[in-house]
Amino acid sequence: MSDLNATTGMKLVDTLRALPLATPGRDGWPALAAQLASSSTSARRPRRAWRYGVPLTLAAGLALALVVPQMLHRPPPPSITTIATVTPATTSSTSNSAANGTAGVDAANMTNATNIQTSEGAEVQLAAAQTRSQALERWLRDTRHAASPLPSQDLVAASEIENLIGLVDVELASAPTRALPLWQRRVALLEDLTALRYSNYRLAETASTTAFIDTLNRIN
Amino acid sequence: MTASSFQLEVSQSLIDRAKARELDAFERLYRLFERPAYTLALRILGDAEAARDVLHDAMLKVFQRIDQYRSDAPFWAWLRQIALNEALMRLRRERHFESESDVEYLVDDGAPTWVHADASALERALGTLPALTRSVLWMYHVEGYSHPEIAEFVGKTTSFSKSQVARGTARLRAMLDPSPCSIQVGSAACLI
Repeated sequence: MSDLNATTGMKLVDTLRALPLATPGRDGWPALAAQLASSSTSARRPRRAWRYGVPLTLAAGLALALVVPQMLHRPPPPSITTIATVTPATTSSTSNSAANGTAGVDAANMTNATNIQTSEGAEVQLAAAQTRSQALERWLRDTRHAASPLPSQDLVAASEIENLIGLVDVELASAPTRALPLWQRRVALLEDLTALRYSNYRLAETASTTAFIDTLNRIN
Repeated sequence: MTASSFQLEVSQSLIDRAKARELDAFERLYRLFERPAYTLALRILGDAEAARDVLHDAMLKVFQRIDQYRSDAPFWAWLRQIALNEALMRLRRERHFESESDVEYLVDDGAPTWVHADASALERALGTLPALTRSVLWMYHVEGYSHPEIAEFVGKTTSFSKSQVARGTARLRAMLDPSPCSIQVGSAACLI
């Protein structure tokens, strides 16, 4: 196999590279120029605007206070386990009462109760994931212009993570029954993106400090 | 050997002007890389409309982030990586990331058939390869990525990348060679 690549493959390289470059057929610059002119910051093609728009409208801002302190004190973003370990109070209290020997409880009722609790637990986890997603996304948006330039590799990685987030959003739209794992996946990706950005986040003297404080105030 | 079509010199002053959001600088960059980026997307996706979308999205991303670009890598390599990511993500999104079935092809060590094939025949043959095989073949042979790099891009193993290159190469040979023995193993003509 390697011999094949070493002999015939080398000639294939030349042949493939000698193929003429393709032309797009129609000029795409006018549309791109118009888009660049109309939106210089977060311009996206209209058909994809919902990728980030939808999640932003879904969650409330209750977890913001959890996000910022962790970002301020250590570079790595908070772990996804924060979400995974969120447990509704009802679950633990009911579990305790079962453990305390409510011997006469019907097994079927217990099963139903467990199902309800599981469902409620999933809802709580889902809400937590959505809230966290919103918080992370807002932080990323608000600090975008205060961050120092990313090294090329990080920039490419950030681009890929954003694409993966887009994929998750596509799946969310098409498979709502898998909302929880998908939202958790989304949060994990945003955390990766946050870690990348945070490691490059630099405060340049007083002007940037002021801007940063303004940003924090807006987040809180 | 000809270098990747992306390997174009871009002056620092042009990059600086683009960072200053000068539209004519953007246009110069666009015109410079339009065809290499479109060709890369077309080879990966095999669809002109999808390739135009990728060109648009990749260029938009480049221009939106050019202020974050640092000159620690050549500009063309940075732009190419963004275009490649966009194309591969689209390929993945459209569920073309399944590899082809494990079919063995007869390969001999005779003269490579593509030496005599014209460009259009080679392009047609490329177009019939499974998207992922074609992508790996293109990334390896034309863009010069290593097998470990390709494996990372497509989320597979290095062995997978190697096998796709070998398989794609063999399949191109089979398609360009009119000899009956260049087709799949098991062909009755070759068993005689």
